[in-house]
Amino acid sequence: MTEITYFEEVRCELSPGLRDDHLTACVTDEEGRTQYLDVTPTLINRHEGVPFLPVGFVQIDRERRRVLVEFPCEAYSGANRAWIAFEHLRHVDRPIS
Amino acid sequence: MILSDREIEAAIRHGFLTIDPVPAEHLWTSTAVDLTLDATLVRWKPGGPAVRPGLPGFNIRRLLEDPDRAERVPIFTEGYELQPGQFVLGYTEQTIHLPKGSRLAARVEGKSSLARLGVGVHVTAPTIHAGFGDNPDDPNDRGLPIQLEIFNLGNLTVALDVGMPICQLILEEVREAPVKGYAGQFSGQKSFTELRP
Repeated sequence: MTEITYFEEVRCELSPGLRDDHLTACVTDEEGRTQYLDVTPTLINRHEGVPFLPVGFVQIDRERRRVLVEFPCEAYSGANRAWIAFEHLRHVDRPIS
Repeated sequence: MILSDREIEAAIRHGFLTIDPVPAEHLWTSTAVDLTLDATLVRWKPGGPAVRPGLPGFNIRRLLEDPDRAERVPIFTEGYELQPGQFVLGYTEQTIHLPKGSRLAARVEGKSSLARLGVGVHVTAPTIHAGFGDNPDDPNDRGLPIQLEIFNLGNLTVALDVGMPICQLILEEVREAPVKGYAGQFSGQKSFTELRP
């Protein structure tokens, strides 16, 4: 068995932002749609070089292994929340016997 | 982005903003809502040693509560006569709460009707920051009144009456969740676990 701990961070890809000092963070929701957010670079957390967007948990749906998250700012699409698959959250795995 | 009257109303309805009590219909404009004057003013007493706000530990609240420095003045039915050159502190009848999660901030601005008489309502401090009125001990707290710095730059004596429209509140959207005041939110520290074979 493995105990997996999921944190309030969603894996993202980064590209240049709307302004020179901003970044665009791209995250993928559970249905494969991409959401783009214009963010300041200090908002992004990095773990072992991988960028993660901090979010807030609104609802955890264990049955469908997804989480409704609140974005730290409105996405280009106008979305403020999205369902994210567990796998796209930052997680730490710990084998247990 | 400045919120329209419809957006302000929706923000109140959904709990993203508290204005308590909600001002009457005639106090709303297209992009602002007027707030009204409460029944008590605070007047500074002249004289005494110099006030030194630049020193560590300076506390304006303590100064306000010092009877040698400040006095509370009720507004009677005939109104409070604000003399030319006079300065008083006042409060809105309404309390305001801008919950952090709603990503709203506000500005309090004067009204042109008073400005034409030389009366202003703030001294370069119009910003109501996101999180204003938050009470961590009571999430249902209805917020705080806005303190106004009321002055008369004109040469007419202007009577201030309880309940008169004294200022306007302009709501603005905060684009990205702030760092300050958001400890624990968007910090990536909350977690949950699952067991997988």
